[in-house]
Amino acid sequence: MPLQLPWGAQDAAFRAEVRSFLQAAVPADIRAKVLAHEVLEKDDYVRWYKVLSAQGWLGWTWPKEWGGPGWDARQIHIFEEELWLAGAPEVYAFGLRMLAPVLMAHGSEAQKREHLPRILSCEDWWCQGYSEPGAGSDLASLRTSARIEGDTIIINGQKTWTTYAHFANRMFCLVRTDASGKPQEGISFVLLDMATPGITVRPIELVDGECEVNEVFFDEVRVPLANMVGPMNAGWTVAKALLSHERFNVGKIGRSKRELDLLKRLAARPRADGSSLLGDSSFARQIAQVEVDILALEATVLRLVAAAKRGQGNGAEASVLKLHGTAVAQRISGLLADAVGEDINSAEALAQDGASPVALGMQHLNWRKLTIYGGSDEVQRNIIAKVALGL
Amino acid sequence: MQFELNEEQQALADSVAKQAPALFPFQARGRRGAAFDASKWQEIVDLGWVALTLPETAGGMGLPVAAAAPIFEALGAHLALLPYAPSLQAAALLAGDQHLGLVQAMGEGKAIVVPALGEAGSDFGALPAACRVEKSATGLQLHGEKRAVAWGGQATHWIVSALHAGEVSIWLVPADSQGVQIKAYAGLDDKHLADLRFTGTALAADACIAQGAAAQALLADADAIALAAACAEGAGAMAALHALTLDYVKTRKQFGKAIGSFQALQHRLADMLVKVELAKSLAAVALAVADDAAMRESRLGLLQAAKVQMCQSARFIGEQAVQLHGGIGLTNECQASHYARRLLALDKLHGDANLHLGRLADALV
Repeated sequence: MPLQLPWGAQDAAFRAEVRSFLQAAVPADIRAKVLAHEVLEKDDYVRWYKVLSAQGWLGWTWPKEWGGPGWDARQIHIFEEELWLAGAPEVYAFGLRMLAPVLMAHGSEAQKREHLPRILSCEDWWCQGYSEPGAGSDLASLRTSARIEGDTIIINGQKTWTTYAHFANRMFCLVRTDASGKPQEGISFVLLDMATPGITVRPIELVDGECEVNEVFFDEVRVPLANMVGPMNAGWTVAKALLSHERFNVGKIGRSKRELDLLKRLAARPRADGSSLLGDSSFARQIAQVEVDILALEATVLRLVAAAKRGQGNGAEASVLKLHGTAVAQRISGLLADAVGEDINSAEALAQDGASPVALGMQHLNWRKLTIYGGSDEVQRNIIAKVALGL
Repeated sequence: MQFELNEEQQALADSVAKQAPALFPFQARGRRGAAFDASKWQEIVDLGWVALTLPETAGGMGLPVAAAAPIFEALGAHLALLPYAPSLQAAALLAGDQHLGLVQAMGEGKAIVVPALGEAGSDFGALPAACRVEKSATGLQLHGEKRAVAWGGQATHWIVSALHAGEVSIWLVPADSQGVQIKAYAGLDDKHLADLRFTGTALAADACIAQGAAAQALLADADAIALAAACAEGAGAMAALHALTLDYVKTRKQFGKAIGSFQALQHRLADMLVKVELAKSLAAVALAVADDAAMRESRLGLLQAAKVQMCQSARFIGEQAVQLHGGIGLTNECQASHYARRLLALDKLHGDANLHLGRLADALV
């Protein structure tokens, strides 16, 4: 039995409802691919998103007004955990939980009415155009330029590390509309159609041989001025508000729990001599450590959620949770690689899950990204120092 | 469990936080071997802190141990050394109607009752082996030795675990009993400890609190409270030490500026904060499950996880706080060294990370 926090009856009932739906609703072929750590096609994702959408749960963080279930932070936490445990494909945040809250807070009525329903109906796949070759952790130094001509924005430059730009038909991006002042002051938040002439998407092959990120080039790309969200040159403020929406959900606890379960199963398999890795006390201790780490992460999420409700908090909750959550995830991916051992070269199926050793090896390499993207560990520590500690 | 505080809990937290600095000024901290401050204990008792979790039938408020969270936090944060956790353990061991009078006396400060469970070489949760109760011509007699009994030298009563007729049993022993040698000493963190040597100590006819399975269940309850209390006091102490260190790096100047302006130190303090937050969270979980009857079967793993986290966080924060203070952090004039000492003592109390992680690992197989 894994260590479980003591949930109340109300929480347990909600979890049971969610679990029973998800058990039946995740298409079997997609669940098998997810549990086997295979790469999913766009169609796999969209097929699943439409199932959730039909249930009214795709926008699970959204208010009722816009078609969300109106859940509180605890329910959101439970639902997200159950999504992972059910072997559902990841529901990416870009449109649903990054752009949507920005539009709800800063978008014009026309922008809200045009885009929000299309996000929930899965007509649009949004990608996020933030990072550039010269603007990673130092995002405010971005240089992709936008000049205004009449009621048109004309964009030139390049974005990079754009996740699933090759799936996306829309992009929200940060562009420089004024280069004269402080770096943060001349940035605007713009929505664009990926089919606009002048946009070129070039996939980047990562260490695991897969392409999930892209370079996106802009050559005289003409976008209506009405596609700007918030005032001109206020894009930095708009984007920062966006970051705070994901405050408590950055740890991906459910995914870590799911991978921990796999780790335990792998470690328990008998080896040729009849022994198992779990019988190796130094390995068993590492698994126990990860259990403690996950439990501490989950308890911290819930405690900080409760503190935020009381209006208490240090302002750097997301950074605390991301630092610990990604460290735990990487520890698990490393232990999974350890658990397959020399078989790491083999593409042969392992357990009933069908996760191949080579896929677990690739996952470990791929997951180094966790402490780099969305603000690297070092940036998170800078944020904690500044925001929470006043240094 | 709920991490949200209700109004009553918030009011207690506010009042404890307000009173604690005046109750436990750093200057009043005794040197090693200083006498127990009985009047301070009475002040705590008079504030109702002990009665808080005692049963209403014994004049208490009947609240769960988790209600005492702000008190544990304050005791840790202000390095207060008082028999608070042992009193809560003792109250758990005295559960039931048989001892209501004594429990009431605890809540009024007329009695200090502490558990005397540990023996030489015994790990957390170990059952008694060196102490036994035997029948003699004149009645029951207690033999054997208990180690490092917290406030064993100040208590009016001890609750002693022993073997009797081949079973685990627990006994109420007045501290003025004949045939007991008390060797009192200061612990690593100046806590008042005592080794108790029982040499045919005569026991009253009604001294037996419980025997067999009932005794083991009570001991498990007391152990649960002990672990949760150590986690909660530790979390309070490390949060205070982190804050202290943060203040220091903001004021200490080297190379012409505050050392807190250096990124290497900022990142260290950020990592320390993460470890404080994790320890606080699992301490809250530990307190919530410690005396929850519904969690009796499933609480141990959670309590052990909490203790592992507390020990690991305490080690990191204790060591880094001294490191960031520099040489002054090693002196007894600097509060940081006192916290580091307390954190190490709490780290080892009731089993450290090595012990509990090993047990969690064993449970996986």
